[in-house]
Amino acid sequence: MVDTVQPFRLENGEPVIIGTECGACQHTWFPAVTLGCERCGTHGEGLNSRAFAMKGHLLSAADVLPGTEKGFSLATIELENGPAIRAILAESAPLKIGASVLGRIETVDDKSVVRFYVNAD
Amino acid sequence: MTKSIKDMRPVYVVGIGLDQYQRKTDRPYVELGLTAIRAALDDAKLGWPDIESFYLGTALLGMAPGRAMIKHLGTTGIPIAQVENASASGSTSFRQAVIDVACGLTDVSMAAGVDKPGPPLRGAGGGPRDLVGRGTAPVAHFALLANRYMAQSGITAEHLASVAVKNHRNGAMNPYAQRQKVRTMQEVLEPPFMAGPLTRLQCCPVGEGAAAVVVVSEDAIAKFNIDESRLVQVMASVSGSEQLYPPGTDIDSELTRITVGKAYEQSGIGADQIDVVELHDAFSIEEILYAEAMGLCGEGEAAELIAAGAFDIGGRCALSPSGGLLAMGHPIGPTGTGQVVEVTRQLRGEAGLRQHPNAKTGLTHMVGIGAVCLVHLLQAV
Repeated sequence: MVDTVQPFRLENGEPVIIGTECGACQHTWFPAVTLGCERCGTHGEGLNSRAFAMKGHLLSAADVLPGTEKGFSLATIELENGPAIRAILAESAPLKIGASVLGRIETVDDKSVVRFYVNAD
Repeated sequence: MTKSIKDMRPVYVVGIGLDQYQRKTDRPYVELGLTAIRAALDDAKLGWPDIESFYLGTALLGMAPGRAMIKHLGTTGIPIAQVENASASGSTSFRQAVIDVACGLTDVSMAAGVDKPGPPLRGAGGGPRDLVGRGTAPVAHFALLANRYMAQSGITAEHLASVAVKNHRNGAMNPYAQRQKVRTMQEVLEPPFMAGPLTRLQCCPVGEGAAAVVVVSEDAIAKFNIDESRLVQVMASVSGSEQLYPPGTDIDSELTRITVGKAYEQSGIGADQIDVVELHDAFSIEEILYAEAMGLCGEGEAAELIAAGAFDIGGRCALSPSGGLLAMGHPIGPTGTGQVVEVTRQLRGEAGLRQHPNAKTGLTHMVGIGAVCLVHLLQAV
């Protein structure tokens, strides 16, 4: 099955994204798709919904269409306890590979979105 | 026990043809394709009735466009098929034609590619929601790779831009290229930035075009008395798809490294023997990444070498002598077949102003949406 609902939520007050974990080989991925594990092919009940904390580090970042109305900052982030994901950065930060980042659920134009911030810590 | 191309009948490229890559015009795709096909047949001194199978690489034209095109050559009842494999569609059509001849299914086959930009064809839909949506366009993906490579290696924006300067210079000597203008470093570095460090001139144009190639067996060479002085042999044909790599791995480069490695192994040809390469330089960073993945230089060395001219025409190995995707263009369906056209021209010594001296061995390389990779090794006989 393909999950088309909102792929994030607050869990015990902490923002998480919802992905999938393979019960057979423990491979994890995001977004959530339970059609089959990319690593071992397990499918159906062998695949489990899994929440991943929005904590990780930057593998890369880039400003897309900078200086335009459509511009945004994109990042590849390796989650601490999950897969590498693509996500929106809240600001155009100088790239520092390995910088830790935290995700937040915010409201933009009446819609809930996830944006990641370079962690000041 | 499985076999590779080198274990089967030898296959030779004997005919090549193009319709110029350019911005979308009012010309129908049928006309583009027929121009390239007739040019390839003329080059081979063969007629359409001599073709025993036909493969058409196309990604943007919808269902079964080949039949509507080749009927104008006179229907012959041969097997035909459309091949869609993203950016590697034309490379895959070439591989299918090569396989037909190598297996002995045919003595003469044709691979072609044709496309025109149009409204995007949507898949079945219903994909999962992610955190980005629009952000995963190819230019954004390669901007992420570029910024990471630059941060790790210390190369400058000028190093990156030197790929585009070289390829625009090569394209300016190619009458079939979409972009035929020499560009200075300053011009290449000028905004607009499409994503990250990638300016407009470091991103390939997607226009229209067509390419066609005729491949034959030794039996056909004898039967049709084909000029043996212009033969180019297919030494390896390898197709691969992505696997799971560790987080942070550049999928496109890793897939390239594995696929090219198999081509070297299949042919017994090493990276140091390659004279000309047509690779998937849709964005400038790709040429740097793939040159290293192909073993044409060491890790972290490609940018400096490109800037220093080592991969110019006349250098140690000519990268993208046609102008590559950056200047010749990337009409999608024809692109991979067009690479075979350029390498064949180079290996015959017929590339005119952009001829790489003493070119004997060439490599073509396309990736398709990071998920597939097609590599062919060609050699002058």
